[in-house]
Amino acid sequence: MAAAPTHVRRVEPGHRRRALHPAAWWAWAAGLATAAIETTNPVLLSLIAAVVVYVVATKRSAAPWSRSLVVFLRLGLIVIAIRVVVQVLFGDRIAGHVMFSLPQVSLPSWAAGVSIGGPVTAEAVLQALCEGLRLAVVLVAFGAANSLASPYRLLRCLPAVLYEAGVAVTVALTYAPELVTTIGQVREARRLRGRPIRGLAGLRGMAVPVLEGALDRSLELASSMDSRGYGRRTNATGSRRWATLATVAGTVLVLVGVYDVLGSATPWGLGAAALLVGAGALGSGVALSGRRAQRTRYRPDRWGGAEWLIALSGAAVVTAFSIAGALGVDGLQVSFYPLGIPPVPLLPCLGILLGLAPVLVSPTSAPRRGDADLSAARPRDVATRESR
Amino acid sequence: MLRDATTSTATVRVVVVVDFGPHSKESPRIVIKCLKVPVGTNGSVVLADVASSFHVPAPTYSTSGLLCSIDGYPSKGCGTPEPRGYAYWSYWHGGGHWTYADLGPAEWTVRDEDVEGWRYQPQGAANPTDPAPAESSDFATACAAAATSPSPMPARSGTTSGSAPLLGAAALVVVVLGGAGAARWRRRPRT
Repeated sequence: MAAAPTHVRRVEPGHRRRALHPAAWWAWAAGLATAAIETTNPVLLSLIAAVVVYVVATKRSAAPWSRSLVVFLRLGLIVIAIRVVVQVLFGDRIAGHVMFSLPQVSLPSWAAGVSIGGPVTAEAVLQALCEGLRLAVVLVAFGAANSLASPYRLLRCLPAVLYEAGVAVTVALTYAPELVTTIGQVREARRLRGRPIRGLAGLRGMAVPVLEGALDRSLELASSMDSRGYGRRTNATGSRRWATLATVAGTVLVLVGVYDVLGSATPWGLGAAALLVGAGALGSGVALSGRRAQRTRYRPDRWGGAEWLIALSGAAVVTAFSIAGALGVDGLQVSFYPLGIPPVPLLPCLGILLGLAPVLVSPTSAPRRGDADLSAARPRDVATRESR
Repeated sequence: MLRDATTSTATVRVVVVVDFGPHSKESPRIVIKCLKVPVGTNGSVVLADVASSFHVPAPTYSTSGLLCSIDGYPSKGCGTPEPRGYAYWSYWHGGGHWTYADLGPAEWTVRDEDVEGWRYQPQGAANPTDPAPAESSDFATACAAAATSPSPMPARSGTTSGSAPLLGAAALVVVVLGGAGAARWRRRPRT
């Protein structure tokens, strides 16, 4: 550790909290996000968002990235607004209850598929709201994973097969939490100097330093991992090439399988088969390459009962949605033509409530000193965390 | 209600031919309506006008804007894959011969003496090889046939979903969880 802890942490004897495995939170969030993709029902989407917000509010730590959810909630609202504005300006002109009319631009016949302006119906706006809400809820679930899981601990679970792509993976995984951390720091710095932090003036002054800072910090972490042997290129042996090949082929098959299984238009059997074969190839690739990378781990993350509960609760939500979809339950996809109150299916509602299970887990995912061991090369970060 | 009443008074004459297909249990099988609509009206609004003039349920559309049902038929599914093709409503333009529409009804602006054709395809290929409406595509002939064509059945009782208690319960859970979450968020998390 580069920085000596100056802050005394209260630890009740016998009640030592341990940080939960970050992959468990990502699995939970992925489950809720997948469920959100499956539906346009505003009731189900609001329920998913409420569950996510409640779990994050109760389980978040004091780490700087734990405020990620707020950023993603705002991003979600922007997404909904953009979707509605696009619908009002360029949307479908299906018959419905006209709320108001915009001046219509007449386009030549070859551009007849596009419409600009014209009557705006209540149906079209509601439909756009629900579709925007779906994307917003997916973003909120992603924000929840960023809030709850430490990006540094997550990187340590990176399978050995991805070590080659270490820099790219590190930047990709840590960019969002680093962005949130940087926003906080830049705001604080500007506030101390009496510069505006809100509105357009604040945005103009903050946008560049925030984006640049977050990328810089991600790259810094990537290079510190590089210096510790991640992404080291050695002479490729036969088994390693096989491992890489199996991983790439497995990833492609898993993608095809997920697309087939989630999309209702294609038959299930093929997609499920691709998913199984792909998962097998991916697993063997990861296992093969894991054998060659022997590394010791300082305070390895344990995967215990709490982690199983969290990951399974996310899986339960998806399962409820899949069963409802297979049964053809009414109300997963809601159309507002004709205008009316959308039906609320019971099974997905109960499924979403299973997503609340992580609240029952006793240890809060509090950051520990060991949390920073990957970023030990950067005492600034450790200091930041102490100050909050 | 269906259209902005303040648009210009210039109108165009349109015939709408709705063919429920030979295998449907609808009676009558073919509904024809001759009507006047303002200039600039699209095919979707014309179809909705026909439905409201007969007091039958308005056409329904899926989330993607695909037409699902006319006069409540079919009652379930929307462009569902069948063993041979798709069950869907095909859209045609008349005038001498039927042409398979390459634009959706919402993108198509009707002109004077247009003939708008709809035919249900229980096993359609979803391309112009599907059978056209079994009615003349000529404006004058179709409009004359409309005078003697029977009206569709009056509005059948729609399937009202009895999910009001569930909707209330879900809304309550959302409010309680959201409120509790927001209250909890303000508290400084334990370190």
